[in-house]
Amino acid sequence: MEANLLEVKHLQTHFKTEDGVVPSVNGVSFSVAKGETLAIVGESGCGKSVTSLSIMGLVAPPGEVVGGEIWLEGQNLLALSKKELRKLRGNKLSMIFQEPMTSLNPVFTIGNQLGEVFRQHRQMDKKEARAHSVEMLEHVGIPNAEKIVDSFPHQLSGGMRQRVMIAMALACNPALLIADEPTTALDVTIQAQILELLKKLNKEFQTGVILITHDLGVVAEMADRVVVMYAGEVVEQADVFSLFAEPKHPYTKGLLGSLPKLDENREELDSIPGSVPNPLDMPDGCAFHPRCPAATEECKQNKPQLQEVALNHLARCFYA
Amino acid sequence: MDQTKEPLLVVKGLKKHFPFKKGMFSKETGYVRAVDGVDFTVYRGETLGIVGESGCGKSTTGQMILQLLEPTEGEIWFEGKNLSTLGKAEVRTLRQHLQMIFQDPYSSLNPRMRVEEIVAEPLRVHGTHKGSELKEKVVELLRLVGLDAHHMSRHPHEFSGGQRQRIGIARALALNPSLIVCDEPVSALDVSIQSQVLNLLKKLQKELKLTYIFIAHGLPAVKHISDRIAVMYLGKIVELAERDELFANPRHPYTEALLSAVPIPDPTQRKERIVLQGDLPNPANPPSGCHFHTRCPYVQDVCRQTAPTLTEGAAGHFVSCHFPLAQSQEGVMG
Repeated sequence: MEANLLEVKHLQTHFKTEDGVVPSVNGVSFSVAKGETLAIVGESGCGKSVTSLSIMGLVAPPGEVVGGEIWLEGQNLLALSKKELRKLRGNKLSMIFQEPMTSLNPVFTIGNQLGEVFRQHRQMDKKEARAHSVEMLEHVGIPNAEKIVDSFPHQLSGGMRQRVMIAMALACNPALLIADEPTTALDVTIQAQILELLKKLNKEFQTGVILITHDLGVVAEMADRVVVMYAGEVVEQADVFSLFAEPKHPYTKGLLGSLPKLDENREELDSIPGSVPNPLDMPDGCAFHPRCPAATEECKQNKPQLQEVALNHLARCFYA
Repeated sequence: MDQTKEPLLVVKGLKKHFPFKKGMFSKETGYVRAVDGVDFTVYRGETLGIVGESGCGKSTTGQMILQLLEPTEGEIWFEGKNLSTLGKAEVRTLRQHLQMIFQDPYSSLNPRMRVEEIVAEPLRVHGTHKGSELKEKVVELLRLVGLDAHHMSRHPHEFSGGQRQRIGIARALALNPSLIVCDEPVSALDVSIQSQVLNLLKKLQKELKLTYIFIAHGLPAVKHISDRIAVMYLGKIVELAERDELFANPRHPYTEALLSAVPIPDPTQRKERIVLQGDLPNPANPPSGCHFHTRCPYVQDVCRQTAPTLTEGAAGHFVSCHFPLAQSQEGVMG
């Protein structure tokens, strides 16, 4: 196996609340190769965002990474000091968030915020940083970059702000970019623009991308490989074509069947009954069994392990 | 649709302009033309989908139909009556038949009320049921949306998003409405829950002979549930057609781009999409001529000067464009 860019092993991130410990991420392992796009899919509360925050070292109390390893280019991120990690973030490792408005500081200009990356990580002076900022803005397709660099975030549209965030994240040519629902807050035609941009940049810079989303359309469009999460665990992992053509886990099958599609008319959509379990009161056995149409006695009692059910295709189900 | 279609709601020349104010004397300095001349008819028993991106005026249109906003201009005819000429009491009576399902099931239910009170409120306000009859009706409504009698004594925070949306639907059904305006009813829900709610809406429509206006930005959901679809852009309808016709034969360049922009959940169908350049123009200062000309890949001189009108091409297929795209069976550029 070739050396991976990122290797996450048995990651466990727990939140200690008054009512008990919430195991948001419970033994998650995956890897990302150079230039690869890995999508992490799942519904709210499945732990996909906490996984990405754990990689970034941004889990805030009461949350805590309590186990596992995260290796980026041979460095164990969990063993680094805060200072060392800060040097890495925005440099080798960066992230774009769902809501570009709340992730930009409203009282500083775009140039100031984007330039900060260059001043911090590339030791540039203000003038150089500004020149590089303009160049970066042009790179992500912002028209009139000379002018935009002096605007404030509120003067830009949602799509433009997301482009600024992408410019900022890619400023230091990171090895790994984490995109957490990067287009969820945007309109469809703007989403198309941003997805095209991410694809182009991914090719150009050979950046490894972790794309976190609940939109299976975006996954099919963008990903090389897919990790499906449910209740803090990986339930299925495969390359994008196998996953959509032959989903193995009943949860993945249910998700795909519940989507209305543009190229077919169905009277009724499949649906997954019930809703995601309460993390403080997880069902015994397989976490999905109360909603699974094929659950048996065994599923109620024993917990299935993630195992290879076809070549490079992992699923956590007794009957996959 | 059958021949005997009966118009339930007719909207004519509907406009809503919101004034905005500037300066210390709060002078009105301009208008945001949220809805700028919209005409359509909704037939009894059908679902009309309204799609468009943020700021296109789809929600404002819904709110005017529900009498939550007063139109700046235009008429709304419901069950054969012009709502703007009726007195308050009459509108109130008619409003019983005109209900709404909201987007956010978290903020649209009063957190201090129990489910029983929430669902019973419309019945109580309009005085249709009392005492034990009221309670029975609430139980019946909860069953209808897949909830149970024992849920009555609980508060909204004890429910998941999907269940809350069911409570909202039960409340909307309480007064036997004929028309329900659903404003983004599934966009706040998780994928696996969205299909539950869409299936429920379809089932109820069949059982209770409901008519829906389904407002949303997610095209797959709109396509799934609608009979006919209106596409809005910057306060105007740019295209309106039967669902399958619209998806097979989009004639407005905006519809074409919108359809092309939707990511398809099938990696074998990755495609070159039509990516529109630029952002939505500011509705306070819409472009001259055709509102879409600044982003249209086929723009001509006339588009910059004259606004096109919504005209019927093929039967029931309306488009507002000087150069509508060719119909695929003809294969000729229009």
